[in-house]
Amino acid sequence: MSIEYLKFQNLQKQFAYHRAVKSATGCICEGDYISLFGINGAGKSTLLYLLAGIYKPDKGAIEYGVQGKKNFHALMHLLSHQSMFYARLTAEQNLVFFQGLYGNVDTREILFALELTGLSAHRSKFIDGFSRGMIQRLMIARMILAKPEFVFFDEPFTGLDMSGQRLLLSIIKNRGMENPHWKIKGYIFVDHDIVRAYNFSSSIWYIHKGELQKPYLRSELSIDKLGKMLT
Amino acid sequence: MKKDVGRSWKVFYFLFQKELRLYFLGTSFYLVSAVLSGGLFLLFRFTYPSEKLNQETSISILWAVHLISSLFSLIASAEWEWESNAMRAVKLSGAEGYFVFLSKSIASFFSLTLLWVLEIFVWLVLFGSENSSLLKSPLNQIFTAVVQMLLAGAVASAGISFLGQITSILALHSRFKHVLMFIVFFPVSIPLIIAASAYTRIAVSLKGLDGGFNFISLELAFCFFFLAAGFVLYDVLWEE
Repeated sequence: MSIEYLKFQNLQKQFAYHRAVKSATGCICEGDYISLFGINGAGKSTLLYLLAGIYKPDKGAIEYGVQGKKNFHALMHLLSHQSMFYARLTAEQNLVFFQGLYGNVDTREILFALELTGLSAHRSKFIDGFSRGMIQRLMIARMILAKPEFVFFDEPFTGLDMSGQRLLLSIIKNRGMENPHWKIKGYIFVDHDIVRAYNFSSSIWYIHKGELQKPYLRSELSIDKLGKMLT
Repeated sequence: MKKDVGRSWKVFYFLFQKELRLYFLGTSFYLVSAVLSGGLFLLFRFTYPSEKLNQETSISILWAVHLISSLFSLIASAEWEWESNAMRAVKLSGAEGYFVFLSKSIASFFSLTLLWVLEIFVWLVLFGSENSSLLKSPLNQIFTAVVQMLLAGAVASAGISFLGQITSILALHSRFKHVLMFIVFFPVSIPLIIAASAYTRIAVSLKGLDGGFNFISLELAFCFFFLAAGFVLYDVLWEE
């Protein structure tokens, strides 16, 4: 039986005078590989941040499964298009810091993650000198170190060059990695490349003007129909 | 797999180590200390009419300089969070809010206390003539006065740190971050600075411990209040 990570009901979130999420109800279980679609400003990122626990909902409730909120935080990860690194620390210092928060620091793992993401030569450089793509690679390295069971992907390909995209695609496609061994048991994926997001999903969520619609299994919704919904 | 997240002092250690690195390996702290504190002391020294300067006013100047440079030092450290969104990643790691508050406060306390020590030194050099009664005293009395000044500064720096971390997390999600830091921090810190400067006056007037207890108690009460407030409120204020 699959684990229920979280269940949410009637979530609402407002920023100043803009209601970004008006109504969202659903649940996320182990084995759910969800792609979340919606036009710009539909509320995709806000919903993702609500579910990840960055934003607090104005109304509605999120119930965390048997593991509770803290443990859900321990097994989830957010790979976003926002840096979320300390610019005045080096790449390696940032990874040591975050791995320290996740558990035990393993220098070999950190060096391996830097090598895998092509950042070995830049490990002693401060983040504020990094390009957008390099920061995104470092975000992938941080995710590899965290080895999360559940991932929130928020436009994770932003700024990545071809080899960076290939690395991330293989992680998403294989739902984890062989070396270091790590299995992703579920994710929510937000991407502006409809075909890519569609192909990587087992179910599809569609949010329109802040309202999350009833979820579809991928087999229930063709990519053509989805394309029409998004235009 | 991540384990024991946010429930161990190891998390505190990594948070604290990161804060110290940001404070002491970066340039902003040293720039604020050297330019702001040094500049303000020079400004007061050479713009204030010499005949009106006395020990009392020089102590007010010392505390005004410490308050202003502490506030800017706190803003510089808050900028690390404001510019990067890294606090979101810290939050997602499951780290407890009170660990984050404590680590940031203690690192800030160290840096502000160091700043205070340097300020006392510069102050004695620049305002030596106003404090000649202190400097001409026997060595043991000077020693007692300096220890008392360090105590006043260290306790005040702790209070400033606790209050500063609360206001900086309060400002984190605001669009008017810098303004909010000023308008919340300044008025609230006034009782602390009054008590600290009163205790410093007692210290440099070489009265020993007579009459100083009330003021240092007031400083300590301020510290404990904002330490407790930080423990209770930090998680709530952290929410977006």
